[in-house]
Amino acid sequence: MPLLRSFICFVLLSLCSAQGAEVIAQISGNEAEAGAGVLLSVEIKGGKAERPPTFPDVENLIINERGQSTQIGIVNGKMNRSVTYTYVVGSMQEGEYVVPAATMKVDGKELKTQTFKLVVKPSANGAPPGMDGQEGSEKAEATAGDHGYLTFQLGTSGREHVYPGEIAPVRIRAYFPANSRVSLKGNPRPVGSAFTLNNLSEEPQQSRETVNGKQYLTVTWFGGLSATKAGKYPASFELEGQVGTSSRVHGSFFPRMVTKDITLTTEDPPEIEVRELPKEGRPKDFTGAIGQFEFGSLRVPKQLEAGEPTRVEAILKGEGNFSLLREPHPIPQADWKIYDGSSNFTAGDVASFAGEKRFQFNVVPLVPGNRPLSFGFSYFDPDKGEYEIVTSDPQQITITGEASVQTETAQDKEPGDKEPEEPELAPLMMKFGAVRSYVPVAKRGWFLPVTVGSCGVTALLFGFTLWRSRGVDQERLARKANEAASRRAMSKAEKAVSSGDGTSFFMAARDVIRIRVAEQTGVRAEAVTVADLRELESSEISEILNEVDRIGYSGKSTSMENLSDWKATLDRALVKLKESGRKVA
Amino acid sequence: MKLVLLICLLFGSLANANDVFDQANASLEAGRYGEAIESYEKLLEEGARVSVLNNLGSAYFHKGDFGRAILAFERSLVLDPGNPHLKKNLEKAQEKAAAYPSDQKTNGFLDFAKISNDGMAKYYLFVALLLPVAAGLFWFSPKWGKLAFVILGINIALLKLAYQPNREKEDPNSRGIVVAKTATVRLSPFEKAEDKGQLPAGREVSLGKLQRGYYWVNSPEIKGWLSENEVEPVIP
Repeated sequence: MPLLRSFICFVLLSLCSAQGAEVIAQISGNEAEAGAGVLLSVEIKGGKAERPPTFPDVENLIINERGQSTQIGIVNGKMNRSVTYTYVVGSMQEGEYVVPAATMKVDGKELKTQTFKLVVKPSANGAPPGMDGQEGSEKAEATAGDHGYLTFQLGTSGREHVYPGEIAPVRIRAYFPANSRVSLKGNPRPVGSAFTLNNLSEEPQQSRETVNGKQYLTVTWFGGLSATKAGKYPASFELEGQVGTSSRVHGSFFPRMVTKDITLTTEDPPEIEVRELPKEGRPKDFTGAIGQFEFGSLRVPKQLEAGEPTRVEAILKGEGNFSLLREPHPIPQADWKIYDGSSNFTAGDVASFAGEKRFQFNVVPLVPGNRPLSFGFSYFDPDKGEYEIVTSDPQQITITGEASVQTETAQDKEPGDKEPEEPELAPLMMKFGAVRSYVPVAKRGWFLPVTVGSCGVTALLFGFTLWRSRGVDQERLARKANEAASRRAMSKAEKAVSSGDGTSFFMAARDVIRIRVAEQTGVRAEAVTVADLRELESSEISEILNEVDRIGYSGKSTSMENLSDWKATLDRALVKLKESGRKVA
Repeated sequence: MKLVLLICLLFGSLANANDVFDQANASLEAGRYGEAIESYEKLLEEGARVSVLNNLGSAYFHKGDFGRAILAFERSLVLDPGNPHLKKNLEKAQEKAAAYPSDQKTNGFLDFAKISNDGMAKYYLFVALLLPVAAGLFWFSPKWGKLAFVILGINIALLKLAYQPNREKEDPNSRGIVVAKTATVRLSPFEKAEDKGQLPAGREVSLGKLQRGYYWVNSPEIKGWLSENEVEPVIP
């Protein structure tokens, strides 16, 4: 019975395995940035694929095979085999895509995966305009070496000429064998001196691609190619690096990694003509901007006052060499004064080719009135080969006040007005002239001594003036004289105490009190009478004054022992006088 | 006697230099640019003159070496900042080299950063020399002296206001001009270091420290190390 049960299970499992070839497709995400991708895996279980999965073409959708892996497992004595194909799916253009179903033939049967939705969002690492194509003018890999090849695509809309100062977007792509290990020694650079490469993407994009059935690891840079001089020059790039490939050495089971220094150069470089910017029709306000630009927005107050600065904010957007694009100006320029302001560029792509530049600056209207106002700027359009003058839509504004200066409004010079032909350079200087120093004034030897000396002289003069003014201060002089007289009288009193001369002591004590009172009241000592002193309501002072009277009338002096007590009484009287003076103050 | 000899030597040398200058001008007008450049460069060894630098710039311009032409015109403008002819020549050379000066950020309406460093130094000097005059006035008449000090105080306040924007302004000593046809900016100051990009002749850069014969340069497009043979400071 158990044997029968085992037999039935075996038959069922066998049937399952025969019919159970299944395909499982999974996607790592439904959103990706332009230029990046998501992983799509297609797993074939329980069968052998006669041909790998294929995808129908979808416009702008890139499906690159990344690799294939095989898993073999034995469970309960039964061998399970599955093969997984991995793809990178993405696009260089934003939008909503449907990743199509992959079809494959497994054990003679046609199988199909499900479809997926993929949303491609714009990216900061997005390619510049005109660089979305997959191959464009890139060279095929016909001439590819064993270690890869280098291609580039120039975004000049089919033009075979450029202009000095123009920045043409360029995509440079290096292809390396998929199974190699690559170490780059730097970024791609132009060969020769006719072109420079600017704003090269700092983080090149990496992906895997199949070209003519051969798998490659690709590295892509975006940048701006700029010509330095007029003429016809081949545009070519080179890239240095080290490529390691595995090769099986005779007699050894394990492959060995062989590394080699390589320099990839673009083959058969196209010759690009660099044309001088035409002088004819060059607007007066041309600042070197080459590309295609337009007004993004313009904010000007509707009410302005003649002679008063007004803040203007303008956004210019487009493609080209933004570094040479200056703020737009009011038209006609003669009626306005324009001050330099600030600007801020926001790149729209990785090569800083497209984007927008925000200007904030002040303008001063010189002529009052009620009139429409436009702003303008000019640039050179390399595709058309001519200068373009862009003016904003007129806005009705009111300028109040009076004309601040006499202007040449009648001439109404427009930026497109043709200037008279000028000679190339100013004439030579025929006067030999004197030798001059490059050293700025502030760094010349005499500058510091002169400035420091001048400040020193000022301090001296100022100090001396203050000192001199102190010499004629009457109040200060009187105060000093009182202090000296007080010191003298006090000294006299002390001497009288030590010599036992009571009469002298009391005379001196009265003088000291009078002088101190005079100091506090701000009058001369002679002006203070005994009656004034008696009004002070100080018992010590009254005692001293009584004793002075007594000695004066009786002619009898105090004993020597008592003088020390009287001296203490005088000291107390002076302390109280001082305290009462502070209270009054 | 020695003094007379020295004066004679000085005048003799000056007369000789004047002749060399005239000959160089004649060579330039005759289209012998190399010869003219050699003579002007020799004259510059004796000292910088506006005339020599301007004519040297013209010679380089006609020869097609716009990087060195821009350098010569920039140097002549350091010596004579307001000269309209020099400014015009510089603009022409920049136009030819497609090296338009990049958009400089400014500080708006009351823009102290626009005052040249020399202008600021002269203003400092003016205020410093007026200080003792004000103190003298204070000596004779305290009333007028006080007024003078108030006026000077306002001037000092203005100097204080102008100090920060001018300090933040790029030091003119750090300005450099690319003179090589195409200069390669490198990641490190070594010949074999990874290159980061190129700068065309005539492009103005901000020069940093000099190390192993390489300047650290900073431009709106790129930062890195540039060989001292490929860039020259505006103030030598």
